[in-house]
Amino acid sequence: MSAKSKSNLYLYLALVCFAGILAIFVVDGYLGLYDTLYVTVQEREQVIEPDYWQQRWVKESYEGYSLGVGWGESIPFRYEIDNRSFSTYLVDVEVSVWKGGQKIVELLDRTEVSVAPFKKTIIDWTLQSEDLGESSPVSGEYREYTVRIKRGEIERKIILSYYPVPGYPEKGPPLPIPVPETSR
Amino acid sequence: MRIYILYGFGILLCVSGVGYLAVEYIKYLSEPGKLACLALTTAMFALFGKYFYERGW
Repeated sequence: MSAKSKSNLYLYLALVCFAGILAIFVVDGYLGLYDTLYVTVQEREQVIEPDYWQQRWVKESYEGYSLGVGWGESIPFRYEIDNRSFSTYLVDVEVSVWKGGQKIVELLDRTEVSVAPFKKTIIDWTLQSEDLGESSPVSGEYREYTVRIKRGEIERKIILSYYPVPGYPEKGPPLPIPVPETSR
Repeated sequence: MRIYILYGFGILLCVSGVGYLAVEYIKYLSEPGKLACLALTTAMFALFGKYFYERGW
């Protein structure tokens, strides 16, 4: 092998290493476990992507995702677990509603979920205002609850701010129209 | 002389940009991925060094 072709071989091998680094970035970024949460509030579906929980301010302050909900509205949740790995993912999922550090209601009680390799699993549940065991908030009052979704060691928090839905008075008989008295 | 200062400045910006991107990407890599990247980076610099040595630099 000539000296030039030998030096070129080193260059090609170095380029192969560089291509390998790029391939690791792509493949490693794709592989893993991803969870997406879909919450429908006021007929609008909110999608909470896995990236949301990776943001520094969410991680550091351990903040949840905030949503405003009208009292009386039922909130459907859809939790999708995407297993992009070569082994089956087995985990316990627990969903509960908390207020002031106290558990109010358990929506999903330690449900064992199994996700096959490179497959997705969807878990869904619905939260009704009646489940919270409180009466409707009065005008101007806001009530906040935390929905905790625990998947193994990982916890996701959704903060629900309930506001009262203004009610309209029922239609009754028409009010009598005062007739001015006429002097005769 | 002035052109070399500009070259140096450009190279510095490129290296710092690539370094910043690498740091950002590395955050999301798994531990085996980080290790493999480290091994490949070491091999890449060693091979580049060998290439330039063979060329008489």
